[in-house]
Amino acid sequence: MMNRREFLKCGAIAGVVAAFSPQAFAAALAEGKDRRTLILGGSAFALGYALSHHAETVVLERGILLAPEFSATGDYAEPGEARSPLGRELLAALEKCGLLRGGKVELPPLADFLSEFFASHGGRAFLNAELVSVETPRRGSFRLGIFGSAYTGVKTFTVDSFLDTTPTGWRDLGADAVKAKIFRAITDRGAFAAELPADADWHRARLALHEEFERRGDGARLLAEANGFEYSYGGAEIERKTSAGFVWKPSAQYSTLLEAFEEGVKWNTMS
Amino acid sequence: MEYDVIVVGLGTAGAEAFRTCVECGLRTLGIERLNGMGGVGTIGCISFGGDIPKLLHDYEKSAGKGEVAYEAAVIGARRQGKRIAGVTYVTNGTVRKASAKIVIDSSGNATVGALVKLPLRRGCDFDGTMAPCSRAESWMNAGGGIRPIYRNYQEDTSTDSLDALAATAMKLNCGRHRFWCQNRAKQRILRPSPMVGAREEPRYVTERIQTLAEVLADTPVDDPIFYAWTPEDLPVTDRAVAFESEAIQNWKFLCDLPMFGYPSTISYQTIVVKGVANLLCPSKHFGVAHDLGGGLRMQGELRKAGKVAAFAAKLAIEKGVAVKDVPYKELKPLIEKARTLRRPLKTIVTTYHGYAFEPYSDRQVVEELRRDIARTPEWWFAKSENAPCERSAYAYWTAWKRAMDGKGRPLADALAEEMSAGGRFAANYAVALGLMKDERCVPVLRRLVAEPGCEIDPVIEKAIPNRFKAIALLGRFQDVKSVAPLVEIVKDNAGGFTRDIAGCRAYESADLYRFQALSYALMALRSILSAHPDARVAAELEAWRTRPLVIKGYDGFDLAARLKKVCFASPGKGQRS
Repeated sequence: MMNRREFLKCGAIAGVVAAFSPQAFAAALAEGKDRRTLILGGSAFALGYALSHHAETVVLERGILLAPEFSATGDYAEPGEARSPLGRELLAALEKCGLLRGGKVELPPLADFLSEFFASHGGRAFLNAELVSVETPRRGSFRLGIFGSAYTGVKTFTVDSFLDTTPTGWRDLGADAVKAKIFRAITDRGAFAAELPADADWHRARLALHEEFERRGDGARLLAEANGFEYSYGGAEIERKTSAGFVWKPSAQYSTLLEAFEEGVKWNTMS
Repeated sequence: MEYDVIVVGLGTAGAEAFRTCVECGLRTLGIERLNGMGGVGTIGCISFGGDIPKLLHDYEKSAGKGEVAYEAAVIGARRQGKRIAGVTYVTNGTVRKASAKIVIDSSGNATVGALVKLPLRRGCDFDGTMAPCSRAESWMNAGGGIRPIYRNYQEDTSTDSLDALAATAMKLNCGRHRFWCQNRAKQRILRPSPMVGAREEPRYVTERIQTLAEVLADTPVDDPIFYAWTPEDLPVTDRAVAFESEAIQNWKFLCDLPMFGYPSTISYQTIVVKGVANLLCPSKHFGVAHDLGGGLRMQGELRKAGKVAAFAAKLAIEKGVAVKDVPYKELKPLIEKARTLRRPLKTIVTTYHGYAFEPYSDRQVVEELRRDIARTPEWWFAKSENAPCERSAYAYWTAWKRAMDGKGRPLADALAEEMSAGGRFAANYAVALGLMKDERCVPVLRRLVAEPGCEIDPVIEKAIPNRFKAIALLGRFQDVKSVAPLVEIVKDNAGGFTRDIAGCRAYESADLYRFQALSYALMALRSILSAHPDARVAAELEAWRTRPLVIKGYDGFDLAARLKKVCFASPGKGQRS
C-alpha cells in the first residue's frame, strides 16, 4: 500500500492523471477524509465536478483520453459558454494555448490539454481501467471491483458516493436513452461522418464509415478516424437513479464541452 | 461459449490471426480492448505507408464472419492441466466467459500468461528494465504530409512499463500537449493515441528464445516462419548500454553505431509458449530476447507471426496435437502460400544509412580504423558526409563477424601488428581485437584506463572515448590487473578520468560522461570480481555506494540512483519473473 508521502512524491503534488495502479488509486481515495467519491468516465462533467470537489473525488476512465465524448469525436467543435470561475479559467486556458480556432475548439489535442489542466488544478484521474463490479454492502457505500491489467488483477475499493457519467451507462443501463450516434473521420479535404442508429456497435460503425467514405468518391485521402462516437439522446435532461443506488448522468448528453463541464461544476446531488 | 480459437488482442498480429482463423473456417472469438482492429500503431489509420484504410476495412469485414468483442478486457484465464481452457472478459462491466481449443495471445504483454501465472521474461536480462511507455499518434505537417509519431520516454530508464503510476499520463499526455504547443504552427495532430502502450512489455518463455547474437552469427533455424530485415530499434539510450547484452554493446558502443539493419530468420518455436499445449503468442511478447525484440516488433513481422499462429491453430485442432507438435512440413506450405516466407530484399547487415560495405578485406578493415572515429550529431540526417564513421563501424563489425565465423586469425594478426606500432590509432586496433576476443589487446586496453589522454588516447571531438571501450573490454576479459585502476575511477566518481573529455560532445553533459565511465567500470568490476573475488575491493565499492553522488540525466532523473541500484543488484532479474 502506497503511503501518502510516496503518493505525493510520485508527482501528485498538484493532482494526478495516471494509468491505474491499485496502490496509487487507494492512496488517492484515502485523501478524501470525510467522503470518498468515484466518478466513472473521465468526462467533461466528471472533470467539472471533480475540480469543484477535488479533495474527495477520484475519476476513473477506461481509456486514456479525458472528456472523450468531445475530445475523441472529430476535428472541431463549439466550446460552449463558461459561467463559473473554473469554466472561465478553462476557456481562457484553451484560448491561451491556441486550442481555439475561429471560435471552435480543436478536438484532437484537447484531451492532452485537459490532462494538464486537470492535474494542475488538483484533479485526480486514473485511466486504462475497467469497472468490473458494483456492490452496495450498505446504504451510502459502494464496493467497486476495478481491473487495471493482468499484472494487477481485479481489486476492490469502497467509496461513499459513485456517479456514472459514461455515454451508455455501466453495463449499458442507459443504452435505451441513446437515439443516434455519429462516427467521424478526417480526410485531406475535410471531415465527414457516418450517421448511425442508436444500437450500432463498433463493427457496424466502422463498416458504415467506410461505406460513407466510398460513397463520397471525391478522391479524398482518409487521414484519421475518430476515437469515439458522438451521441444523441433526445430532448429531456437525463439523470437516472439506478437500482444499485448510484446515479447515471451521461456527460455526452450536453452539446458542448463547457456546458458539460459547467453542469459538473454546479452539480451537488451526489448520492 | 465454446470456440475453436480465442484471439486475445486484435492488434498488429492479432488482427491477422483473427482474419486468418476465420478464413480457415475456425469458429473464432476476438477480444480487443480498443474499439477496432489493427492495434495502437495502426488503428484509426495511423500509417507508415501502405493502404491502411483498406487493410483495416478488410479486418473489419472478417469480424462479421467471426465474433469480436471490442472495448473488452480479458480479466481472467482458466487453466486445466497443461491447457488454457478459456478466458473471462469484461465489456463495459458485463462479465462473460469463453472456452476454446486454442488460445492465441496477441495482447503484446503476455496477458493470458500473467493471468495463469506462467513464468515470464522482463526486459534486459541484467536488471529486467523494460522500455517505458510510448504511444502512436498521427500528425499532419503544414505541407499536408502525414506522419505517424511514436512518442516514447526512454529517457526514464529508472522505471519500466509495468509501473503504472510512473507511466503517468501527466508525463505522456502532458508531454504531448507541450509538444503540440511548440509545434502547432507547423503540424496538426489528427488523432491522439487511444491507449497507453509500451515499447517493451513482459514476454513469454517460449519453446525457443532467439537472441541478437544468434541472429548475427547466422545460427540455423530449421522451422522458419518468417524472414525479416529490420533496423535495430532497441529502446535504450546511451545511458543504459552498459547493462545490455554483449551483442548490443558491441554494436551500439564498441562499433559506435546506434542503429543498424540486420537480417533474421525466426523459428516457429518462438510463438509456442513453453509448457502449455494450446497457447500461441504471436506478438511483440514472443520468443525473442530483449536485444532482438527492438527490431522485431514492427508491423510487417508481427502480421506474419499472426498468420502463422492461425495456421498452426488450424493444424493443431485438425491433428489433435499440442501446438509445439504441429508438423512443420505441413505448416510450411500454408505459410508459403500466405507469403510469410518471402525473403526480404536485404539479406546482410548494413549501417543506419544503409551502407553495406561487405565484403571488407583484411586490408580494408585495417585502413578504415586508421582514423579518428567520431560521429557527428548531424550524422543521423546527413547520409553522405559522415560515411567515414560508418566505414569505421563496418570495419569493427567485419572484425567481430570474422571472429564469430571462426575465420578471424589472419585479420587479428594484421590488427595486432598495426596496434603494436603504437601511435594515435593503436586504441582502435585494440578495440577491434577486443571485439574478436583476442587477448593481445589487453596491454593497450590497460594503458587506456591507467593513462587517459596519453598518445594512444587522443581527445577526439564527438567520439565515444576509446578509454570507455577499454573498460568494457577489460571486464569481458576479467582482467584482474585492471581492478585497482577501475576502483580508483569509481572512488573518484570518474571525475579525473573524464575531465579532459567531458566537453567533447559525444554525450550531452559532463554528468553523462561520468555516468558512462562509472557504469562500465562498475559492470567490469562485477565481471572481474565474479572470477576473482576480493572482499577488500567489495568493501571499498560498498563504501562508495553509500556516499552521496549526484548525476543528472534528462528531465532531472537521478542517474546516480540508478547506477547504484543496478550495479549492486543481483543479476539476472530479466530472465524470469
